[in-house]
Amino acid sequence: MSKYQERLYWHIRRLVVSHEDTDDVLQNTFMKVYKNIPSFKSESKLYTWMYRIATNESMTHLKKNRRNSKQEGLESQEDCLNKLESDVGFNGDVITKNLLAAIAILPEKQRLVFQLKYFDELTYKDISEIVGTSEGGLKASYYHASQKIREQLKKVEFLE
Amino acid sequence: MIKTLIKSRVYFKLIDSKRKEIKIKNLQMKDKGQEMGPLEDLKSKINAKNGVCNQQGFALPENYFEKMQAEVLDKVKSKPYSSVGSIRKMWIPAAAACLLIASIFFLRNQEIHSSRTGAYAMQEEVSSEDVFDYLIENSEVVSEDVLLEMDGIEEVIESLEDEIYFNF
Repeated sequence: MSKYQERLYWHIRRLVVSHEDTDDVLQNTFMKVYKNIPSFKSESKLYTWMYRIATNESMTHLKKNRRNSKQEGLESQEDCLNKLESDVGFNGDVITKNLLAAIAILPEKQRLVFQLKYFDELTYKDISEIVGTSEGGLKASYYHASQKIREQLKKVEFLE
Repeated sequence: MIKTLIKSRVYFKLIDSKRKEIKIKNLQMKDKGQEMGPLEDLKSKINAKNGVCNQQGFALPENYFEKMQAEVLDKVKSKPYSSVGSIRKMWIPAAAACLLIASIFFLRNQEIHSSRTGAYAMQEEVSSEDVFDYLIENSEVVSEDVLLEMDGIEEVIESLEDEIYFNF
């Protein structure tokens, strides 16, 4: 648990943003890991298996939240920036804020792939085990995601 | 004509495969960081500013991981998650199965009861003499074995024999 808790925490935190939600999701993740560890087959790596559980838990949490707040469609970059600014647990600078806001408005899958590759620096093979998509598909998703982020950051003049 | 058609098909297939190869090569080139340069620079800037690689400006309460670890272990010890979960999951289908079996038994018993009461009602309405009369009149339809197995058939046969004897 102590070996993977930090990596999983930051992976979940980037997806659900608030610390309280991340705490709930992380605890659920570890409970599921404890419950299912006897059925874990060493066909995949332990950490990719844990990442998959954490990702599924985060996605379920986000869907629940969306249903509760009756939000539909994607958020705008401004909404994301406002959210980050009002978040007490966030103290990043302007560049970080804009990067996170650009990531937040990506479609769910592109966002997930981009974060796993860009921040967690996982290989496409590992991401493919977590997300369940072919490596070719992941490369395309990552490419499109990075193009969109670059465009967004160009708009706010953080990239040339 | 056929030869030219086959040639053109092979030609188009070759073009398709070439296109795919080029696409994959392009993606691989982009993947190797040729397109990612500015974003990679940005990441290193952010990491340098925030210090810790993964935090991206998000704050974390003190000793969070120790506390979280203890909480999870407490939860695991206090309720054996797997068994409780499986019992909860099993409870609803088990209850549904019990209800189904009970309803089948109930309906079957009702059917048997109603068929029995129907038979008794018939027996009450029709006297045994009428039944014998009917069977004897229709002796061609009813087999002898069935007639011989009936209660009181011997008396009927005797009375019939007497009737025949005295009539002669």
